[in-house]
Amino acid sequence: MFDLFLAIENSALGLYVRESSWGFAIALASHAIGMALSLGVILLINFRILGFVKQIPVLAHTALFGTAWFGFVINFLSGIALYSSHASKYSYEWIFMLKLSLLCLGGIFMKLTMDAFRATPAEIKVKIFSVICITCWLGAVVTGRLMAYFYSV
Amino acid sequence: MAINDVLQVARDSFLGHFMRDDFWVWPLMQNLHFIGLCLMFGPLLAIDLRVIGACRFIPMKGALSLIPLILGAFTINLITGILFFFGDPFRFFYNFSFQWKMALVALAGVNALWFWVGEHAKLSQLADGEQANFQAKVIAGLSLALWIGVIIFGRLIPYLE
Repeated sequence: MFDLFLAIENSALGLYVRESSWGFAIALASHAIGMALSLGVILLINFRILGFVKQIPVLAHTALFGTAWFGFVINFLSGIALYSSHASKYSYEWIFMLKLSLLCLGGIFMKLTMDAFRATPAEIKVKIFSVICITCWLGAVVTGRLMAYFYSV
Repeated sequence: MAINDVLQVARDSFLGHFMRDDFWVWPLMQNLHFIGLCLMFGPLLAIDLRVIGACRFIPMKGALSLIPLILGAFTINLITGILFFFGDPFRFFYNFSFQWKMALVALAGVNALWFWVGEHAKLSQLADGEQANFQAKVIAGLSLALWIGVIIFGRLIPYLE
């Protein structure tokens, strides 16, 4: 596996993001914008489902899902770019693995929340899914930010 | 009192020490700053995309009533932002990216005021699916562009010094 990670790191993309003056900074800035777009929508609809902000009907928020997906795609691509720059390092960091796991769980629980809401909006299950969804996504933000502080040497 | 003296006072203040003396305070505030940004962007997108017309079936009145949420989230970032500044005033004050970020925050503030004074009352009357007027759309577009600019220059602070 380590050879694979080294190959990724020494690919054209990995080299560019790591060695060029602006590659890493551009990828990071894009990653922050994608986060704002996707997390913004995800947090808003989940807070609505939990009953904190009642101004817009829950399903009217789905008009914003395209924006959330757009943000996700930006972060998927900029995330690959960032990963490729230090693949042999990030692949062995527990905090990065935690971040990826939380991302997957966050996505799954967003889907579970919406499906449960569409089927039986009043059931407590919807809110439990929603709380787990928010926790996973915020956890992904926090663990992502903390990658700059926790690292294996 | 020269500006550097003011910056030195900020650096030596209680808040300056609070930010620097314990290693984990800085990353904690960074995380709050990121979460505040995410909280702020949801309602911002709902309002601006509704006004622009990309999401015109979000009820306008409901979207506009999310403004306090934006202000609340902005307050989190204002407070954590002021804390960063006190923690390392010389770095931020003379940082090119930080200067641009602050300029864009100020412009976004003026733009929001223009929205509030010029468009808010008219927009609350808008029916579902109805298009906003051109001036309101320009303000909403500027709002998104300026806040995305704020994110970019904020994230580039470590790279433009």
